Amino acid sequence: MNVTAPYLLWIILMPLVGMAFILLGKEDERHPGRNSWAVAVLTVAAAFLLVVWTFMQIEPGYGRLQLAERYVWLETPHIEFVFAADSFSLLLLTGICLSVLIGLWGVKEKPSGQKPRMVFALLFLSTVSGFLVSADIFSFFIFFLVMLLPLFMLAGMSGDIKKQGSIFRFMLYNLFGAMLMFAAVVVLCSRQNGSILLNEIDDINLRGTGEVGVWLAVFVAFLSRIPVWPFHYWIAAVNSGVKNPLVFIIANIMPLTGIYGFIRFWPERMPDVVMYFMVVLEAVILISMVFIALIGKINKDIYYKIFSFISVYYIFYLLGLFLPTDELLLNLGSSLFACLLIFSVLAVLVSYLEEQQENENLPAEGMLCGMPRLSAILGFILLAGAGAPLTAMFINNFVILSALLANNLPTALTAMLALLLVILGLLQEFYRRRNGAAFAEEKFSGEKIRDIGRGDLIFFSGVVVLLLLSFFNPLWFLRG
Amino acid sequence: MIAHLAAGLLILGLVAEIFQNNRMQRSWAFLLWLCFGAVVLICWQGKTTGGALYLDWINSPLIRAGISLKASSAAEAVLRALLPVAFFSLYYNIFYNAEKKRLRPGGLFLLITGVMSVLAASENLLQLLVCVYIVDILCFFLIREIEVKQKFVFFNLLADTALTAAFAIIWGTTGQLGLSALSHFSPTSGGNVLVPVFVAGAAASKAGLFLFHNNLLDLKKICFVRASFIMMAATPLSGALIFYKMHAVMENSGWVLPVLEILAALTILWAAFGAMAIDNIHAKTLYLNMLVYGMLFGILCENKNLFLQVLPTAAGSGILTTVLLMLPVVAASNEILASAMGRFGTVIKTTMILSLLAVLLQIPAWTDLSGGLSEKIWINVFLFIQLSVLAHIFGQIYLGASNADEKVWAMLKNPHMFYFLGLLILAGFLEGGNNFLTLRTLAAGGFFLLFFVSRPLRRMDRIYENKTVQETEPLMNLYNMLFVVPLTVMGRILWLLVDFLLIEKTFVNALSRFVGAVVRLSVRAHANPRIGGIVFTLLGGLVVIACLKLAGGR
Repeated sequence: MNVTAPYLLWIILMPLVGMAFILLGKEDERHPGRNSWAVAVLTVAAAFLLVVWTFMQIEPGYGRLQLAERYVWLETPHIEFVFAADSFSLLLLTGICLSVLIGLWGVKEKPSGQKPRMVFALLFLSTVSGFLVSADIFSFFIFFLVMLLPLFMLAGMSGDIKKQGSIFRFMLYNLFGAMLMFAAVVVLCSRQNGSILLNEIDDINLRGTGEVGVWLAVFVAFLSRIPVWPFHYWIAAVNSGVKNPLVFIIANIMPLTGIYGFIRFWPERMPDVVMYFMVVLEAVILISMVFIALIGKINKDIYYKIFSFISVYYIFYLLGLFLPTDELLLNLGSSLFACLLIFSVLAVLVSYLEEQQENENLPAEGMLCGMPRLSAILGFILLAGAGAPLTAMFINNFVILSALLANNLPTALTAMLALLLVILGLLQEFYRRRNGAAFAEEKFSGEKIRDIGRGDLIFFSGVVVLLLLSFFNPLWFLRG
Repeated sequence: MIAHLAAGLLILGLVAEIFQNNRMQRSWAFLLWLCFGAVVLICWQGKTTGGALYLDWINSPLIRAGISLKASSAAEAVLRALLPVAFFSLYYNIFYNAEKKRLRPGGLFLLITGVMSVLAASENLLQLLVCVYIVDILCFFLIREIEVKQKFVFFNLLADTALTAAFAIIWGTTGQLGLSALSHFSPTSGGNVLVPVFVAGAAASKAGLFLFHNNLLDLKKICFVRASFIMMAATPLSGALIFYKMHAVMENSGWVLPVLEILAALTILWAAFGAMAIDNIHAKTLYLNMLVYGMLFGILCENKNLFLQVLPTAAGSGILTTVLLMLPVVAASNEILASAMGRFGTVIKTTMILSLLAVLLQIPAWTDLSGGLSEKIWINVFLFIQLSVLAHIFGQIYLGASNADEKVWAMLKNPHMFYFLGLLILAGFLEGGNNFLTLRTLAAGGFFLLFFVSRPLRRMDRIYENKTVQETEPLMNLYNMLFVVPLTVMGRILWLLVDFLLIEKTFVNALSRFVGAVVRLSVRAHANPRIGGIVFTLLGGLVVIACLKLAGGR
């Protein structure tokens, strides 16, 4: 690991600096929330640029952690924060920064509660950045745990969740997972009398019941973040119940941390006990995919459909990461990047649509006929989400699917079926809202329906162009 | 040549799509038609100079793929079918009255033709897949009606997913994306057996063969020119080309080709019945196009090389039948029902005569193709059915009992000369200098005229009044019953049983009761110090025993 400028620390600290500005800054009384929003947007944009700059500093590839930074916390036991990154973690970070930026765009006209919302959104970005660049198990656990706090606050304050009890259950469930992770980290650290680098977990000698316990704890801890059956219920209650687009996006980024956990924590040499868990996990994953896809298909709530869309894709990627091909992870990262963008635009546009419908008391059917701009962007996004050759998802999903089909045909076919179901569910909903006959019958008043503004159109067109570019050069980070 | 042609068409199409102008639509459409002609002419003249192109697209540790555009006899044969369809579609796009925004479909025609050219030249699976997807997306924009769009997207999404899975299996097994490597792929072992099934399903679904035809028949709700272009130059043609390019895989599977052959035969029968029995003239044109694909798939199953020979004539014939049936509709002020026509021959004689002449002019091309070989039975059957159906429909429209209302009669007049001009050029193109004076041609022409005048199937006109035949979609109902309803019911049951009853009502409630009980117990234990002391001592003892037990008595 070569020591260079502390880019990774800056990536973690930058949102915190923005957060401090918001906390200390004064709001314009005529436009409440605008200053906070502007600071948050600038901060996230700067963080995004910094991540891209960092990307340029590393050698492309997976597994070789670079730009290592060490910050000692305790001498005895020796505990230090170690940060390092590779193409995969930076790809995810780029996607998350852009997703949060899209989410921020979605709440620009929601002044109520803007300041705390921006504060916690930036705190979340900081913690998730820390999680993605952690290179030792201690900092990995700290960020894994701390990121629950901003999510809890955001869901509680701005989530507009009808059943408040579900937030507490969700938090308890996640805390339970984090505690299991803590137990595993304590056991692992006790063997080394200090912090351990993630790529050195293989070297730790765990035997007997200790080995089973540690891996089981790690397993359940990461699974607690992913909406797998039968624990999907609490995650679904919050992730699909949140109506605020920014919070919705942040809540649905959380499962990604579970997936990333599996990727980073997973030992290269699989212990036998892990292989035993794998069989169970595969069965659980398949059941979850079909289950969530089927419920998403019948559920009339559009947010649940989007939740099923992103969840099924996450689980599909989870299947991909367990394949014994490390190079595949770059395809996985590139696909996840596009998937995050698609999901975020979808969430913001749907939120706009739902808000219009609710405020003006309009019927959903045919509504999109009065919103040609939104309809065009939504149409593109749904086609891209369906796997059409419009984004990096197309070629990367092809590679992942091919590897899955070669490895385990029934699993791959079930995954494809689940993906098809969620896409069909979303498309069905889109066409219901695009129904011209219903639009004519309902006699919508032209003034009532307000399409997205020109600024929104330019912003979302920019995202569309970015997605299209990712199709033409899906693995752009592999220079030369 | 293909590289230049595809690039020219794509640029022209993009320009047309970007610079939309609501004024002088006809003039812009005319200009677009001229530009198309110029691009094709320039590229076709320079075809001997070659111009192969290879673009590196993806170069990663796992996959390497590029876009290759190299002229070949197969690609040229496809272009011979594709370009005339685009030419006549752009031509009628200028004049057809039901079309309001002419530049948009015109641009899309060019884009689709450009992408189809790339598809025709595809030499690797990824290029083929990307082109197939993009053609579907462009068709999606060509269809304005939302119900039609919905069905089209659903059918094609399923087909494209199946195709993706098939190609992913091939690449995963062979590690090669080139179509030339397909002959080494064995589709008879393990998961490979699924490949021919997926490819055949996707091709049949795209081409609208029997069992998969519903999405294409829905195109009756969009205007003639758009529908006929989609049918003869877009998604269904891409289905046929997939079949052609993946022929080696299907051939090696052993049983897929016979199944497809049966499906092709059923398609021809279904299309013949539909074209005669369905009242809507627009639907009739689609059934006649379905007939073409039935024949093409039949030929593909028998002789892959003959397919390329037949394709240009088949595509031209498909467009011709659409124009032939479009004429009476235009003449009758867009009256779309055959049952509301009749005896039109007395008023629009020119339309009738030129229509009959156009049908007769295309016959030599078919009889020339079908001469000799026994495997050309598909062409003979197709020609026999097509002539019978056209004669029956023409008989009904031009000679049959009149059911037209007064308004239609009052407005009835020959379409203007540009419609006829296009028709005659198209028929002339199909005739293509073939010998008219052969026994087979004369017999076929005579049969057609006799069938037209005598109308032996006139009793079938009664079916127009049968609501069940006209309105029900038996296959869609079947699909709903077999797939949609069970999935919906399963989803509801799962939600009700697992999410609601098991997790929400049982698990969560039990957990909260358990926590409540623990809290109550704890409160009691703390309320009475004596009992508390006993309880905590017992619990502590149990913990010590458990620890000792776990530590193995040490």
